[in-house]
Amino acid sequence: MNDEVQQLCERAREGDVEAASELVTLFYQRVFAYHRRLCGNDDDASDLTQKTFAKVWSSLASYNGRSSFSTWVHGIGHHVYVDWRRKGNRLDAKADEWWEACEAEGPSPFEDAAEREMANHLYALVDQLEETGREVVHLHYYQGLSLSETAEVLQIATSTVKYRLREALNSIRSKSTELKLRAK
Amino acid sequence: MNDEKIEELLRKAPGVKTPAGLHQTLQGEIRLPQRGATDAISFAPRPWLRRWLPELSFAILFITCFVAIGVQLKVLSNMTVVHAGPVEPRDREQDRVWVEKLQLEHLRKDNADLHRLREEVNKLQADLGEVEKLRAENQKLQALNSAVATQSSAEGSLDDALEKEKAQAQAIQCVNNLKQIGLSERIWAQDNGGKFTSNFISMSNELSTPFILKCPTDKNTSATNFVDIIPANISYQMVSTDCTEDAADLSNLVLIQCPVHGTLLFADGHVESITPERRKQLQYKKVDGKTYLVP
Repeated sequence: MNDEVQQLCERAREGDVEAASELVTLFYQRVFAYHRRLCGNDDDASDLTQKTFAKVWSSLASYNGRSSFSTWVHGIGHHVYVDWRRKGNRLDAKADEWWEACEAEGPSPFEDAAEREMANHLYALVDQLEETGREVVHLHYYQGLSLSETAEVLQIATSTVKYRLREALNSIRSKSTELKLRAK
Repeated sequence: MNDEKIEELLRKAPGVKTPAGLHQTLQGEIRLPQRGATDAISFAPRPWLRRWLPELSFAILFITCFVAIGVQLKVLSNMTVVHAGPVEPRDREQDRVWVEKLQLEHLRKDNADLHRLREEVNKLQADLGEVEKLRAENQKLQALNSAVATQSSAEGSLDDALEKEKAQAQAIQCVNNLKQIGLSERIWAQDNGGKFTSNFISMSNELSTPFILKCPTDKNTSATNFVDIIPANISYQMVSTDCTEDAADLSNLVLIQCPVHGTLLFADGHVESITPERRKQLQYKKVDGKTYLVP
C-alpha cells in the first residue's frame, strides 16, 4: 500500500493528474471524516477538505517521504483546521442523530443496541473534551493513526500523545460514571 | 466501563458519509506543480550517508574548526618560542643604538652650549674692555678730583687767612670806632662840666657818623642815621655811669665795652684790645656805678 502510494506521489509530482486523482480517491474520505467530526457540519468540512487538498498539491514538492503520505495529509488537514479555528469559527454540536445516521449507512459495528447507545454516549463525551484531548482522540481512535503518526501530525512528542490520551480516557470514564449514578 | 472498552468503542466509530460531488470537486481542483520542477526530490529510501549528511557536515565543520584552532595555537606557541630566542641580541642592538642616539643628542646639546658660551665670552671680553676703559677714565677723574681737592684745600687756607685778616681788620676798625667814641666823650665832657655822658644819643652832635656806633663784626645791628639809633642798633655797651673827668684812676675806669671783640674804652681815652684768652682772665669791680678793671 505504501509503495503504491509513494509511486502515485512520484507520478503526481511529475504532473500525472491521474495519479493525483487516485490519491484523492484514496484519502479524501478520511480527510473529510476528520474535518466533519471536528467541525460538526458538512459545508465547513467540505471547504476544509478542499483547502487541505489544495495545499497538498501546492506542497507536494516539499513532501520528502520521511512520514507516510497519510500522515502528511493528516498534518496538512490538521493545520488547515487550526487555521480555520483561529479565524473565530465555532464548532457545531453533533447530535446523536448524526451518529445514528452514520451508523445506518453501513453495517453497524456494535453488537447490540446497548453497546450502540453506550458508544453514542461516549462520542458525545469526546466532543466535550478539551481541544488538545479531542484532537488526539480523533486522530488516534477515529482516524486510526498510530501514536507516532498522531505525534507527527500534531508535531508533539509521542509521550505527550500518550499522556493526553490517558487524560482524555480518565475524563470520559469519570463523566460516564457520574452520568450513570445520576441515571440511577 | 473500563478503558479497554472505551477504547474499543471509540475505535468502532462509524464512518462519515461524504457529500455528493465532493470527490469530483476535489479531482477538478487538482493543480499539480509543473513537470520537472521537483526532479531533485526523490522518495526512494535514502542511503545512510545522505540521511546523516547534515549532522556529518556539522560534525566535520566542528572538527575542522577545532583542528584549525589547535594548529593556530601551535603556530603561535612556536612563534613565541622563536621570538623569545633572538630577542636579547635585538634588544641589545636597539639599546646600543638608543644610547648612541642619546649621546649624539647630548653632544649636539653640548656643542650648542659651547657656541653659546663662546658668544657670551666674546661679549664679556668686550664688556671687560669697556670696563677697563671706564676704569682708566675713573682713575683720570680721580686724579683730577684729587687735584681739584688739593686746590680747594689751598683755597680754603687762603680763605682762612683772608677771614683772619678780615677779622683782624674788623677788630682794628672796632678799636678805631671806640677811639672816636672816646674822643667824642671827652668833647662832650668839656662842654658839660667834665661829666661823661651816659648814652650815645646825647653825644650825637659830637659823633661824626652813626656808623661808628656799630662794630663791623656785628651783623645784627645797623643804624644809618641818628634818628634810627636805639640801644638795639648800637653794638657797644656803656658799662659805667655818672663818671667825671676828675674821677680817680681814669686809666682803669672802663666807659664802653665791645661785646664782640671785648675791646675796652677807658675814661682817659685809651682803647685796649683784649684777646679771648685774656678776656677770660679779666676781673672787674663796681664802685658807685663805675666799672674798674682790676689790673
